[in-house]
Amino acid sequence: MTFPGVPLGDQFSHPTLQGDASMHAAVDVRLNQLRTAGLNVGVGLTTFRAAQRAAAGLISGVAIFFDTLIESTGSGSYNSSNGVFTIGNSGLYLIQFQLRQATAIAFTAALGGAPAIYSTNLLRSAVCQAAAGHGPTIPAVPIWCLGGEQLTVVPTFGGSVTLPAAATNDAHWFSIAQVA
Amino acid sequence: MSSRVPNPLIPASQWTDGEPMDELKLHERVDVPLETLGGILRTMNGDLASFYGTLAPGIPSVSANTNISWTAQIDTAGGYVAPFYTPDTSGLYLIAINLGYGTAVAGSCGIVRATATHGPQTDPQAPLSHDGPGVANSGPRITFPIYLNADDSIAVQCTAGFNVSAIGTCWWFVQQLTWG
Repeated sequence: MTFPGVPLGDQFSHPTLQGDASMHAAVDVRLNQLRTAGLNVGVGLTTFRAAQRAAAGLISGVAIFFDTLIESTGSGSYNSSNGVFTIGNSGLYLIQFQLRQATAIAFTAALGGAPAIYSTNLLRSAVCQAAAGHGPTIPAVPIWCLGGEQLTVVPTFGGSVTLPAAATNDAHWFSIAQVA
Repeated sequence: MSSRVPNPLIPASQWTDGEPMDELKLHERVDVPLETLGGILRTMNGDLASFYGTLAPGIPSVSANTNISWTAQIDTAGGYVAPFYTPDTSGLYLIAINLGYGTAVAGSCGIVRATATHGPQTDPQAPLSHDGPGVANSGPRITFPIYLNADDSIAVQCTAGFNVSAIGTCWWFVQQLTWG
């Protein structure tokens, strides 16, 4: 966002007469900067989605390594070896995830990392129904993130949970979309 | 449209035929409106209102069809006066609700509107989530966009009484997405 980086001061001073060059700099250039800034609102926002396609055993308290990057645009980066998505540009993000289990075990999943307020309150899903095919899910939640903050999905169940392979239907996924 | 946007048609603020030009008028009619518009572009996202509330585990019970009182964790616009959230500004908002039931009940959740004076409910519970599966520690969840007026007041209700399941499982987000 540049219009301009610092607030405008008084560009017109007495007794300097306003010539075409100074009027161009003070009006035309500024209007064009404003137009450019307006046209760029919403441009370059970050989107990210990763899926877990191979069968995987979950460990309570350890981030899920979603093994397949589906899409990643804008800023930010994802490390599939530890399941960490690192925020690039600060802004408002919608964050959502879904898991589907193979075994009849009730467990929950939390948003790990992230701004401290959410970690402190352990923002997480309700416990899923203990039946195969069910799993913890968080609907899209709006969260302000700063550049460099790291987001993960962490199961918070002390037992053994297996995610079945989902090579074709992407039943287990982690999605982040910047909206502002 | 937000009242922060300068109105170019304010009487006596614009040029008239034959009017002498001076640097003060140039500043007032060019610098100031341009800076106001630039300031809006620089800050519009940062001014979006955010609310995040939680329920602590151990709350004896939440009654069915009763406005839920939340512990405000984030309230950037100061819009929350339990149990109602009143937006500071009209616009499109995103609502996200998750309820972790500690008991085996099946119920849905949604928001209700009150009058601006927090009077009786004026709308039914709509939109509603689907029911939780009726097993202990599960619960309903929903995310949806809704247009709110500045004098709307909204609260969360559920259709079944419940005990809070565990820390982090009951939360309510209200996030402003647009102005006006």
